[in-house]
Amino acid sequence: MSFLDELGSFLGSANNRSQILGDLLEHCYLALVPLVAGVVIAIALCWLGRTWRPMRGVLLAVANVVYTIPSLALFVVIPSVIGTKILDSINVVVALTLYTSALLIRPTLDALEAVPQQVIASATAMGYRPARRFFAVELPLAVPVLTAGVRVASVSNISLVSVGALIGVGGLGVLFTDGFQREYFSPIVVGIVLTLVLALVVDLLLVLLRRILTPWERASASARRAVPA
Amino acid sequence: MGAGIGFRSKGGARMISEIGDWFSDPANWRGAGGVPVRLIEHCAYVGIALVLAAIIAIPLGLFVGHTGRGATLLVGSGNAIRALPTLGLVTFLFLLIPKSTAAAIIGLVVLAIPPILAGTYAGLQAVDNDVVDAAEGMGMRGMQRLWQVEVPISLPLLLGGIRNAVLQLVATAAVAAYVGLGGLGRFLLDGLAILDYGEVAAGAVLTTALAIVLDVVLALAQRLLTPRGVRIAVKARRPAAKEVAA
Amino acid sequence: MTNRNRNRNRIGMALLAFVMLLTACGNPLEGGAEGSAGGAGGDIVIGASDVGESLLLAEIYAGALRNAGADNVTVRPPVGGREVVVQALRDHSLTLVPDYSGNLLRYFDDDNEATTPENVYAELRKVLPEQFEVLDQAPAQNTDVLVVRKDLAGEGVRTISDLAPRCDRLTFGGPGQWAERWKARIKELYGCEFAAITVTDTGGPVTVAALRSGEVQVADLFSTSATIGANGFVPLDDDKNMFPAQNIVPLVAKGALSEREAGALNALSAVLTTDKLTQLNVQYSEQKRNPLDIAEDFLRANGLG
Repeated sequence: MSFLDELGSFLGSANNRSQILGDLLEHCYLALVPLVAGVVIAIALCWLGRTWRPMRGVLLAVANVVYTIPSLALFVVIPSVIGTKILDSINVVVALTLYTSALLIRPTLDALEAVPQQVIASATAMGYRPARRFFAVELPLAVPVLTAGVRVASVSNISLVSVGALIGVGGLGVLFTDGFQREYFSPIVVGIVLTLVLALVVDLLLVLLRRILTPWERASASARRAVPA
Repeated sequence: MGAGIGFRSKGGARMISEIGDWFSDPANWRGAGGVPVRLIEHCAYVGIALVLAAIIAIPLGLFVGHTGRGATLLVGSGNAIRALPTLGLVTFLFLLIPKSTAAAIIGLVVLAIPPILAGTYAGLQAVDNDVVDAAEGMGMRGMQRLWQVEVPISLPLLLGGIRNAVLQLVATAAVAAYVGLGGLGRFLLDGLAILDYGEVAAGAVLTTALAIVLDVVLALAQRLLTPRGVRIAVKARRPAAKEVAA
Repeated sequence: MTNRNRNRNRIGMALLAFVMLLTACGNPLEGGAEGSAGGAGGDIVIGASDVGESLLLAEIYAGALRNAGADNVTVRPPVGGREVVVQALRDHSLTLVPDYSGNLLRYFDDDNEATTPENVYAELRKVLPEQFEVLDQAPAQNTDVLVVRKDLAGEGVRTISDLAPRCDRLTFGGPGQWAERWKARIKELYGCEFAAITVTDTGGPVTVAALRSGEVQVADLFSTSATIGANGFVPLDDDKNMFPAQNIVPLVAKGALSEREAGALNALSAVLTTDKLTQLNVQYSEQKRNPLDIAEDFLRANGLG
């Protein structure tokens, strides 16, 4: 059978198709929940890091160490630490949340520290208290850099979820283990293609999200265009 | 899916004692499946893949960074490769080339190329145009400029790229144990198959320790190999807001 | 609206959209067998170990149970070796698994010497702990088997006894635990001591590739595996009965199945022969059919569907 024939018969089975769809949706979930959680945690930690100076160094150091831990090692160690059973999908979610947070700490800190002093000063002058100022001024200005970090994290997460198949967690990784066990190319190819497509789609959505959240960039860009350079 | 299956988590003390037991068992230090051999295997895979990836990625990055040609293609394909799922890549390669080590190393090389490429390219990008102009003004030609000015300045970022690549390699080599590769991943997967918690945790500890050690060594190298002038310049530049290339 | 309110609205909308995206993906963590699976009439969760055939059998069991009227039957994807699944049965994350009589006996009673199908089954029923029960065993067996390539077989090696004098010049490839389990026994029974024992995998592609390429000259595979025939390997006869009988038998968390459900599985086991099982494996690993499709066809062909 040529490869295309094999692919045809693989996708031709309704049972196969519904399994692939299920795997895809689960993969989606396992990659995106940590992304959102990671962003929230990174922002919260950075806010703390800016309020208490000594925490900043600790934060960067810990983030560095966490990010260094190899993926499979983290997946198998987390259950003992948080008390779940080893083959539970929550382990993957927790592990990826840790990675995402660790990855985002540095860019978030940099972004927050890059907000010009004048802007903060004027916000305070306008009567913003620190918390309000954080959410209404500093965070929105940090969005571009944050999004860049989140895009990197999303690609990483989507790729790492597959490794979860080695500890029995679903997602597209199941296609790889199945294909490997049976010397069957089709599921592997389908799995790789779907992973890439998913990464692309999520990336585009994030770019879109950034556009929505930073209307001033569009405004200033069009203003610049209106005035002859 | 529900609550998963598998052995219950152990209390912290018991966990540590199981790891301790595993490490103190001399049988785990002997022979082809012992810690020293697996450690060396792992380092070998990482080393070989790193060298091969660097041979491909650094010249490519230098070319694109120096001449400015093909930048979008570079960044685009780098991102695409980063999105490749590790497990998918190594299983695919194994089916093509049914030799565990060969298939795994090719996969490792492919995955190590984007970080090194990105680091090299970013490094060259970080060279101020003024510096390049000054060098030209001093009479340096293309190759001279590249090697005497641009490369030294871009060294920190290039080494940063290598650091990332090494981390990626250590992690991926562990995953590649699935297609039969040796190295520290064997403890993780073989232990998991029979629920030998001591072995699994030992594998996790060893792999993490290796990653941390290599990272620290490379961080030091990054510090030491950065020309003093660059260190000063970078410090001076830090307060300015710089957007990370999206 | 002031600018800052507009921003807040934007962020809010964006977050809402994202959350909706997430819920569209579905939460795989809810609606599963939380803790207790089983109890007559409850959810039935069938497990499979990572040997391909195990998944096939699990799907066939699932099909038989559904045809017998059970309505919430799921099959979990393969997650690991026997240790994993037995543990899961104990804590009711799983209801039943297809298993092999000999391995199961040895798991619960390390030193048991039984080797024939009847003895193994009888002993198994005796040593099985309280929380488990086994249903009827099938005539089908899937035992460990040592295989060699045609060239070695051509030199007159047809049984393990034939292999024994050459062992010290040969490299063996098999699962990680093989040495621990059989190295002493094969030496004691056959006088065979391999020059080297390599860990490949549990009868999977790495082992097959290693034997094909000559990296190992003797491999441990499973007797119903389609790869033996497909690669022209020659299985060696276990003339001194080192490997015990391995009849397919459902291992069940006690009391988890109703009489009718158990009856359905017994009817299924009665028609499962070694030949039929090998054929199923051929469909799975050579023809690459979907396990659900294979199960459906099998049940129908045998009057159980």
